[in-house]
Amino acid sequence: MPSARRFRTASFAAALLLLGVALSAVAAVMDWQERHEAAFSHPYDNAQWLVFQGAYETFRLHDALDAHEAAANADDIILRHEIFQSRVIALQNSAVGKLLASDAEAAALLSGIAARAALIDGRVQPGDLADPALREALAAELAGVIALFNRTAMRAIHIAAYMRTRDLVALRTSQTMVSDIFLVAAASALGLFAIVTVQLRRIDEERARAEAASKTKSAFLATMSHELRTPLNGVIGTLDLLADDAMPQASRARVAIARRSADLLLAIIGDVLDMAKLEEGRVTIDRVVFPLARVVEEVRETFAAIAAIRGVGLSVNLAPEADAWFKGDPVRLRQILSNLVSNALKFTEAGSVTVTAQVTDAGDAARLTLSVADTGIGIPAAALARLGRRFEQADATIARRYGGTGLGLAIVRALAEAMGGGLAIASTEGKGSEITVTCLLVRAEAPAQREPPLPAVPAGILVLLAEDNAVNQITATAMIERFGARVDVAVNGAEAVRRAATQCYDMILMDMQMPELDGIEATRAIRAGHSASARSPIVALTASAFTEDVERCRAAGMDGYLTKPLRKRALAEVLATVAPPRAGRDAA
Amino acid sequence: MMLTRRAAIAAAAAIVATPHASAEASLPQPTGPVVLTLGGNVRATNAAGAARFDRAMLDALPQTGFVTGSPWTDKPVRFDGISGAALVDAVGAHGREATATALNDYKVTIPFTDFAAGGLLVASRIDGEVLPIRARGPLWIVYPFDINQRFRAELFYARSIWQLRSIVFSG
Repeated sequence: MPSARRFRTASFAAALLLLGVALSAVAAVMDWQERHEAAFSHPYDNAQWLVFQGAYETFRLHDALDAHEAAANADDIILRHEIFQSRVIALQNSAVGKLLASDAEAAALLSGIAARAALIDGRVQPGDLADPALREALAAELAGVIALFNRTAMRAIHIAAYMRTRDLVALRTSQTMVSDIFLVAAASALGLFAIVTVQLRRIDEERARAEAASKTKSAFLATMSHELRTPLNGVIGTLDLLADDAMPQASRARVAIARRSADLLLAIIGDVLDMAKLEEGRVTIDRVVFPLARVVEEVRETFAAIAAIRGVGLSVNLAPEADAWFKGDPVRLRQILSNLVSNALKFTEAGSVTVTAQVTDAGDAARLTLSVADTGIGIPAAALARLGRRFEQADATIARRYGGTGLGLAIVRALAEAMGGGLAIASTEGKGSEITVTCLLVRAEAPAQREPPLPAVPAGILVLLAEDNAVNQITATAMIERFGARVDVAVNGAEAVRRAATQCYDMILMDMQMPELDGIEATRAIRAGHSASARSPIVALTASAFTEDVERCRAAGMDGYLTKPLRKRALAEVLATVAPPRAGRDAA
Repeated sequence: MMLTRRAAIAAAAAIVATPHASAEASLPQPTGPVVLTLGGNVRATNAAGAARFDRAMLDALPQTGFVTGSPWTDKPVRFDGISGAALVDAVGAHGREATATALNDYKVTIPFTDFAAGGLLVASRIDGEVLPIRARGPLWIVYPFDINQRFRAELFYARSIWQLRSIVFSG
């Protein structure tokens, strides 16, 4: 992308400039410091002090020579002379002396002083100092030296002023350069900032565009799914009605196939709709108080029959701390667990499926870990990474053999993530899989008002279940037996009529759609004869609860109806209407 | 005259009144020309309230030295002489500060800690050569400028008195 390359070039150039400027700034600051130190540490003040000291010691030597008792103080004259010579040497050899020597006039003055000092040095001999003429001559020379020192002092003032001004100008130039460099540094930093800001804004805009496009796609999917579902519901409803009609066995089988296909299509559309909603972020997670055990139990009940038919064990391990009330979304949890169990059963041909629910602390919240382990075909290691993405199954042959869109796990993952958790898959090919889902819940107190208890079902009643569908037979039998009743099963209407003739049942549950003899006809037959169960209450099991169907049931002699799938509470309410078993019923 | 005599009596009384001062007042008399006089708060003396040293007496004290550059030398040189600590030990000097005076009457005040805590050197030789008056001798207070950066400052340059003649401890 040209703009990206331009950005890189520009930011690289700006960074390089900044680096260069920073290095220049360091160099400039060091130069400035050096000049600053030079300006304040040059020995200009010392120059005048040294010149003064020279003049002063010349005076003192002059005084000593001039004294009346000069003869007596020869030692003093020698000492003063040595000090005088040391001052002349110090002035010449010092940094100050070298500085002064750089000025032609001062240099001439200094060499004049040095020449006279050398002359005096040659003539000061301890033995000769008593000679007044020598002392006179030396004093005259010293007077000349004093005059030279005086002129040197004046020249030193001039030189110091000149040097100081030169240093000051250099210092100011250096300072200006430092501030200029800092200005350039600030400007390039600002430039770099501007470039980065512009580029970050562009990245934000691109991200927003991409998100908007993704949302549009998801919204389209959601709409399409909804539009597909409406006519499909029409198809399913019509097939249900068609199944109630009398028709040849072959046609009934075809209707059943059509119905199963429609159910599958409906499930797929549901998955697509769910996924679209999840991607759009339209799924909201409920926060209601619920018992976790009920969710797990409901899923187990739903799949118990299928597992039994397939000969696969389905067991649930609910850890003690998980058997409590939580605040969360039980509907979504049920969806997750159903998906996982359904998947596990689909891919397991023998062995077992085990559901485990555990709860651990996660700060203020509780972390729920749901795992579903199976002994199924497993997943090849290479395919593990792709799983849980949309439309991905382990491999294409699996899709052909087992069906499915691969949306299931993606939905589970998205739901778990929406609930603050995630999904993990562990699998060994050929040995089985374990899928673990975590999510965050909040611990809750069991609500004060519980659901009203289920109505009491009289103990030991005998029920006839007329049902042709094997799954429904097992589900319903299990539910009825849980209430302490015994169950006989008739696989079609004709068998129901036969059994009712010899056995007096406390209740007959009659499926409406059965081959050979449907529920209505079977009921009529039982009521018409003098069979043992001619007066037993007969309750219809029906998928549809349209008024006309209910009327047909009553007309045929039924006492009530239950809609499928069977609900525990509704079943209990119906069974509770049965009078306690009469003694000696079997003899009647 | 009166004043001088009274001062002498006071000094004598002070020496008698201070037992440990008299016990330490065992400095020998200088035999050669006096090059350094220590006065003020000194316990060992060989004159009225003062300790006077000739060159031989100074050379008899513990010697030390270091190599350093300085503002007054073109290149690093070796300074040898008596450390400030050895000097104050030799005479039992004490106080808070010392006033050093040069042959030309230049005076500078040096904190006593400069002597006691190290660094300060009363140099009598450069590169092994005795210092004449013309070469800033006979004694020159210097610091190890190159060894410790804190000495490379105007304050210590000003304390580096040359042609040192006397030190008076006070405070």
